[in-house]
Amino acid sequence: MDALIESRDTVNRWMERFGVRFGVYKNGVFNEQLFPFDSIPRIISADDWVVLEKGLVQRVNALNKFLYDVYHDKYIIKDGIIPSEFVYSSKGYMPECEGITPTHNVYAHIAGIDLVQAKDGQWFILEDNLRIPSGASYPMIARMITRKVSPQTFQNNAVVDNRNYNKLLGDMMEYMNDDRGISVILTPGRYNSAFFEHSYLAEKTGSILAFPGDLTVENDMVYYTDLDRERHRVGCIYRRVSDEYLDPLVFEPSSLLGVPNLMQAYRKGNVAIVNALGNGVADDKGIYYFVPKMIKYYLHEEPILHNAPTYLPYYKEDYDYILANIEKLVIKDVSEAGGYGVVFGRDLTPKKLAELKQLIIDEPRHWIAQEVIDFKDLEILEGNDRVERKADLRAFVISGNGTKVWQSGLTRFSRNPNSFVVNSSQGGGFKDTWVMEQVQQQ
Amino acid sequence: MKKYFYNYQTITRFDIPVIKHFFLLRCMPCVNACQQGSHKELFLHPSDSVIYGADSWGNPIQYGHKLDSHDSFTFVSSGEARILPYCIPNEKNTDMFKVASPLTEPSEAIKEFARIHKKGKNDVDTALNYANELYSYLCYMPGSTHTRTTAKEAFDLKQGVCQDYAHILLALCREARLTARYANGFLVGIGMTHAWIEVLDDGKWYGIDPTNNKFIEYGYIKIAHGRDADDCPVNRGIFTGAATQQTEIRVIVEEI
Repeated sequence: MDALIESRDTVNRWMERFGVRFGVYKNGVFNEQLFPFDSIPRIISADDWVVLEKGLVQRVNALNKFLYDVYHDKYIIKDGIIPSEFVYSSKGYMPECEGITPTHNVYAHIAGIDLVQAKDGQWFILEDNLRIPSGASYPMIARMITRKVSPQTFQNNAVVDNRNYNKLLGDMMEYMNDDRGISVILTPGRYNSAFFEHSYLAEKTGSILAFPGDLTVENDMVYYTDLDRERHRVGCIYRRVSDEYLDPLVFEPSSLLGVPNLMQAYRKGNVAIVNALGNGVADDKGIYYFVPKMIKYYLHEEPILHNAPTYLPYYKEDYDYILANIEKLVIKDVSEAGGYGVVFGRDLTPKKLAELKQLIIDEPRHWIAQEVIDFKDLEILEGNDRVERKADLRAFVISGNGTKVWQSGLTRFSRNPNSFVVNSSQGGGFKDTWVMEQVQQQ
Repeated sequence: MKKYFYNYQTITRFDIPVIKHFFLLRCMPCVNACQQGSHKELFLHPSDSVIYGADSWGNPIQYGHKLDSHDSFTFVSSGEARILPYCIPNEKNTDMFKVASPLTEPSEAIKEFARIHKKGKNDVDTALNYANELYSYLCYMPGSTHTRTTAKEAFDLKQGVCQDYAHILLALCREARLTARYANGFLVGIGMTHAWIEVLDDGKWYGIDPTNNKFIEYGYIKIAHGRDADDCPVNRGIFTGAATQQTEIRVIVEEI
């Protein structure tokens, strides 16, 4: 493994040549930056993985059932498990999706579930990403490169081969396509923060990379026009365009990234959209609190993986607790993502703390609070020194014909020693994630 | 029962020809327990195809495209509507109309307005009280707002058109925990489309027109409802071309 660790700079140079980049908008200016790779892998034992895998499949199955329910019969609301206003006032709830049944009833085809491991080894779910979770391409290409740069590392260590993500994704898209036509990956274009990933996944899955304008809807069917101006029926769109830009006749009217009348083709069941529209209602930070309840409600099982201890100011008891303990909690704006809108009570001046309290008092539905988890730090190389930094794990769960967890994931770390926020949009780096093979019993 | 003839025309002219024009219209009357239509017709020109469907709220939609170059787009929706006094049985899944929507978020001032004006003996009564107070608070002023003006903005301006009256009244009703929704359609005599609200009371939706400060019985032909105006625009279109457009609208509704 030392050989691999020493190869860090070589791997990063390769990645630069492959264009492994991450775009960041700051103050309205678009900058592409490299996503720094750290060569010390995160290692997950086979025993740990068994639990994670079961827990993730369980969670995503419940989330898929919730999404179907919330856009159809709403039993979970009628039975009083989730208060209706949490659903209807969620920014991610899209009434335009009411009554629409996506192909094979699947909503969260690609779920990016963020976890952290505490010092005692226990895993906690930080958040669910069910809209357009990005990041799988980075560990994919990092593994490809590290295998080339240091092949002996993978002979000497029993690491599960993770070069099957393209197959997991491709099989799911084929299942969703239902023999209706071709499958495409729809990208907003090269100024999107994850454009590298869109093109890489298209290449790896053998899908067509479609740009806005390549797709048209006629008579409730979606067509792709190729470079020879030939039209092909489209059966599955893995879209990397947000819901609100997807159809300018239904959502944001100024969107140039969308496909007019796509929503009608979707409503008629003539195309699968991956991930489904309206998923934001299930990965809302306010709904997160209810996911363990969903697991019990829909699956009649005890949750295998736990949420970070979370308080909802909506409930009186939690409200009082938050206001009394705000300086030791982390407060999150339910409508923000990507590490934005996250504040640690202990970092605030008394004045700022009072302001935050007032915001919570004014709009309790807008906030959640969590206990700060004592993360198990991971070693990274800072120059030539090994230092410890906060890290999380984004696991990728694919739902198509069954629910499968990719035996790898994106481990992101914070380069700032004082920061708990690991999002790549906040300038962190990433590691490979090794899931170890089960040792054969002799 | 009363019978009305309606004719709704929209002509959009482009100063230079456009291509790849896609449209989605809500220009034909809803069908419900107190509104039935007959002789319904839709004339569209130019258009490659038109599909008749419904959106998630059950509103009739008409959508399609014209791909080749054209410099105008006309649609005419006409027919007869038979109307009973406005009272629509509740449909399923209408709890979404209890909470604020993007265009009807209440400001502190709206919340205060809702607090100080007294509630009525039932939900319709409460909404009528608010409508009455709002009628003296707001000044009807064409051109003072635009299609995406929020309730907050119009309330601060103290001006607006029918859409703004409806949005503010919705914000007030929802603040008072009523279930209320936006409705639009044609009104006898005014020559343009109109917006009002519906309030749910004891399992039935009643119509209130805040712009005219009245409880609706007859004379309103409904084409759509939603949480606010953004959910049910009459006419949405997108095309390719650097054209500027001018739209002429004419609505005729007459009792027959």
